[in-house]
Amino acid sequence: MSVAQKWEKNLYLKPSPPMNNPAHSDESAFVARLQSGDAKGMEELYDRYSPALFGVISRIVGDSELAEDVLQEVFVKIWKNLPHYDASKGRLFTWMMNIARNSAIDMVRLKGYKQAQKVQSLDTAVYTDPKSEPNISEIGVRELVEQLQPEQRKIIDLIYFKGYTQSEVSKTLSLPLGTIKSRVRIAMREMRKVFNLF
Amino acid sequence: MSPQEYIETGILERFVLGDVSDQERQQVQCMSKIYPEIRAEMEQLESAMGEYASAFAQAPPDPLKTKVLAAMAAAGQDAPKVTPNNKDAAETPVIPISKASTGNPLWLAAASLVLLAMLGIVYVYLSGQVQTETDRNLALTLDKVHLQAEINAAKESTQQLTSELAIVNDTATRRIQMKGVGSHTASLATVYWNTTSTEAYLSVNNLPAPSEEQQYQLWAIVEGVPVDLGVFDADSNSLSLQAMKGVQNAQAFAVTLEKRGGSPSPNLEQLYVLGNVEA
Repeated sequence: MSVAQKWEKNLYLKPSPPMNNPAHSDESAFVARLQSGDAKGMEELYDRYSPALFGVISRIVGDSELAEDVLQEVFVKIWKNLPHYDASKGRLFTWMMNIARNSAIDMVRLKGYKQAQKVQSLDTAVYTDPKSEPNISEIGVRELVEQLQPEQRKIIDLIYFKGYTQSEVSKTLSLPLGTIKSRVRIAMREMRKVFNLF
Repeated sequence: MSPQEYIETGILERFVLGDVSDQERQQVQCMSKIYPEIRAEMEQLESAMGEYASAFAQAPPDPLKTKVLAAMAAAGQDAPKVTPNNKDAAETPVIPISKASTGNPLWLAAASLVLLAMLGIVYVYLSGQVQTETDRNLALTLDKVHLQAEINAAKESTQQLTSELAIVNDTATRRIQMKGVGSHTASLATVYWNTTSTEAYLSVNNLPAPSEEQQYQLWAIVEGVPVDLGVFDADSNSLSLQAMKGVQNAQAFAVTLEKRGGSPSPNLEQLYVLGNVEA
């Protein structure tokens, strides 16, 4: 892949601002196009969101061939169910992420513990993966992630990427449920400070 | 509880992290619709979570794009939602028990209960805020609507149970228990077969939920040959009866797991339960 091509891909790796902040008019127009079955919209949906969804799926499922299957399944589900999506369910991106998360977690549970062992240890983050080459826009978001406390990240990752409930986290980390609950709140507050531009 | 207190419970964080039950998810969506402060808070959390998740973004391999787009185009989009669960209504040949009713009683009961739950939530939060006469009136009106919905749900439920009891108690009805076969030791379903009217009703006592591409199918064995009595879903309430196709002269009944929509002949490797008709 040439530098130019890599650079082109970079632009897709962070969801461009209109999709991930409250610019509602942009998003509702986009959603309307998607719900009308517009083929260009379908392609735009894939281009904009497949890296974010693939990233989350890969992190949960591990095995890259399986991750590709899940990504396909997820996009088909999203496309099929778009007519049932409405803004009261939250942001489009969040709705799609949940479908991706749930499908990936279901796949892990289906394949059993063996598959889960292949998932990258949550401590050795994507940063050390030789396949993913750092690039400028990615570094921006990743640096922000590093601003979060490792203790908090561990809990968030167990809930978000492994689908644990707070009580399951409490058992796994041998910490009282109350501690987990307050750490989640603190972590989410931190995340808002770190990631939000407002 | 005020919107601020609701936010303080931490439920929005759990919603955004995916650590909520279906009921809680509906509640958050409902509250978010009613209270702009809750909606604003949720959007900030969603936004932050989205940014965090995007840090792990990985471009998928190039050839995957055409494959996925083709699969999306092939699958197509569902028809827009009109009533809850209408996409299931077209697939299974389930005939409502009380044919006199104008709608499907179960769905009416379910819709009443959902309305009840939503009203219950609004009622609880509003009743905590009663300050003026108008608010008090609103609370009382909600009370009334609340009770009305409860009554409707109870009526539908009673109607359905009465019909089912009539079927089961009919002197011409034979009850055939289909017990689990092979590895499916815990599976159980029951056929209520009226030998006079030839009608057959099915009660799912215990069948595991199949994948989306599969569906259970009921068979009657007539003169040694399996006859299709229709497909059904296993998620029905174990007390309720589903009307299946009728059969005149059955020696046994069985359930197999087939592809969605059913098959012309049974896949014997997916035989779940079987029951003989005692002579």
